[in-house]
Amino acid sequence: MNSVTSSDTIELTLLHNRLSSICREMGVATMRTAFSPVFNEGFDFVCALFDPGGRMIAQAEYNPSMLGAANFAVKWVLEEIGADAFAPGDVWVHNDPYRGGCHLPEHLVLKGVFHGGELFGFAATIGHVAEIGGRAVGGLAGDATDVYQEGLRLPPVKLVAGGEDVRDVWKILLTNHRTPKLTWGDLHAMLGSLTIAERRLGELLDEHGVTDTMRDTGELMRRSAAWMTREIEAIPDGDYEFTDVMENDGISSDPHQIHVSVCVRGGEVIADFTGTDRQVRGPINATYAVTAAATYNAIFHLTDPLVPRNAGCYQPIRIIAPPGTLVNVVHPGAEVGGNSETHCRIIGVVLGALARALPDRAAAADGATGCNFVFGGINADTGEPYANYHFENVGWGGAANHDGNDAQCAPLAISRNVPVEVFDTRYPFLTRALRLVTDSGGAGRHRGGLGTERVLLVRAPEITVGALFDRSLVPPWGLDGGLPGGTTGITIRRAGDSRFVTFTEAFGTISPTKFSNITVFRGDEIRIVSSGGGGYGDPRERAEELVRRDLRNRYITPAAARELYGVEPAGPSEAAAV
Amino acid sequence: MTPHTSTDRAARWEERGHADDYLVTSSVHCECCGRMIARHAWIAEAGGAERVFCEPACEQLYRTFWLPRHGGASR
Repeated sequence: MNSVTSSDTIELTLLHNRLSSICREMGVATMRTAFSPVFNEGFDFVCALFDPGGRMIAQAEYNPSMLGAANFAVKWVLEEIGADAFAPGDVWVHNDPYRGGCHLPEHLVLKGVFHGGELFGFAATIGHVAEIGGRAVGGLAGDATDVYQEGLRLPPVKLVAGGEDVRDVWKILLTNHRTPKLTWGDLHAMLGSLTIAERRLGELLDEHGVTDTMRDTGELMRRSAAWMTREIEAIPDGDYEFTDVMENDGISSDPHQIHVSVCVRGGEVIADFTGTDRQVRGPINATYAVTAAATYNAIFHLTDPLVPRNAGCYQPIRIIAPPGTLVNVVHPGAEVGGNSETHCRIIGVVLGALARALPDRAAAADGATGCNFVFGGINADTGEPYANYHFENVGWGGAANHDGNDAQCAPLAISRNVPVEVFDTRYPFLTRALRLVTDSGGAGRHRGGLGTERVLLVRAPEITVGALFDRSLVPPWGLDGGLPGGTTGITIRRAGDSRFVTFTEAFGTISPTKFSNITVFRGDEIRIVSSGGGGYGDPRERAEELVRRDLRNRYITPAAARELYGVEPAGPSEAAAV
Repeated sequence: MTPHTSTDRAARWEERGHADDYLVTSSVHCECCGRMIARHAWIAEAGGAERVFCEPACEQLYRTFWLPRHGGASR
């Protein structure tokens, strides 16, 4: 396409929207038909389309961590096995974190889309399978020390051949997962999404033909790259550095540093993570794909959200992640928390670095942890095994022009809060409390969002639980004079006891927030507290009416109003707020 | 495959990655970006040594970004 006309632009916009809609429909099918709440309620999946070379041509607004990683996962699979390994009706699966995955629970299913015998491209869905075997029920072993403890690792293997299940592969998969029925249901939901893509792309290609559609998707990528380049050109050139820490790896109590130097030059961003600590024994090591996805995520927060999301928009963003470090784990390093935990921190360091370049778009740190709580056992009534991967929402950081959001999924994902009614119906817990934590939002001119407190009563004779949290010791940072947000915690009150204690106190775990395979019993209560966001700007500059509103809403205590914001509570509704 | 962009005549594509060899547990990584190389590597001389890159663009980034900042030292 040599000359650009308005009709070209309209046609391309329509094509972009149609391709994105196909991805959205794939996601709706996945969400509605999967068996696990992590799909139905948590939206922990992503759907995208690729050209024959593995370049993303469209995606939908599902989990951004997987979206960034999908660029690598699909390319690496095609590089390894070759596009010619795909025949009509074939689906390949893999969950190998060292081959472009974010972490082991996330399975990629990839299908070639053919039209008139010609390969048009690929449909891909990545989903978080809640139970994948390994040492911990629910897949996130907070104390794993290598990938083999984290679950069943699949290199790219054919799951469906010519439309027929490859039964040997299914047998291996279902035999090694603790909840095979859930795995079967969730994977079939993902396979269904690929069928939707195949059908809808077929309709599109019937109308426009393969050649013209490929030409236009190429043009969309070029325009997206040019648009993102212009967005980056608007950021002042320079080098911007930032460092934060993971507070421990679950195996020792040492903190581990993540360092980034973000170089902005001539419409390109280079995020250089040289200086980050070596990879650690515990499961907080991030894969290269995680680090890249987190960097993309941060840049997308600071640029125009209308830039079409295809391979083009990723092109001007370069990532340097030294192998063997916390941001580019090598085999056989444990990695499952590198996505849920370290991923958040990598987004944070890139945003922290660029806060100097774009102070009007900057925000303080968000809660930056998944507060992952995994559990499972045998249902006493049915004899069926169950397992679940549960995560909590956190407070987001106060920003230059607004308060942080309360109780929202950490920015690596867009996952929804699983409704209490669903949770209590599916699993043998009774949710005794779910509420915002007063004073957990970092004080500031723009306050950090609040974290949550959840109290779960064990209703089964026994349940095996595990946890993988960070931000329990090192709080989310404030910015420009704002104060840190509240920290996380997971504690237990044994049946008959009067107070909550840490799992280290109760069970001798090395880490109070990263552990696996603890058995709790009927009547025990588990209390999960998520982190709040950091505050932005001097709290004393916060508008008095906003402080009083926070008091009335019980977001802050009278003491915080008085001591941090310099506002004296007035009247009984404010003075007795908590 | 991306066209040859190196100024070095000896630069070439080679099969270096061994992602499909399941008896080998080590991996080959791009000396610039750090990405694992699945199969094909871009081999080019840079900073006084022959180096492995995932693509010519990484060789260029190595020359224009990595070398000026970090020198030829390995990570």
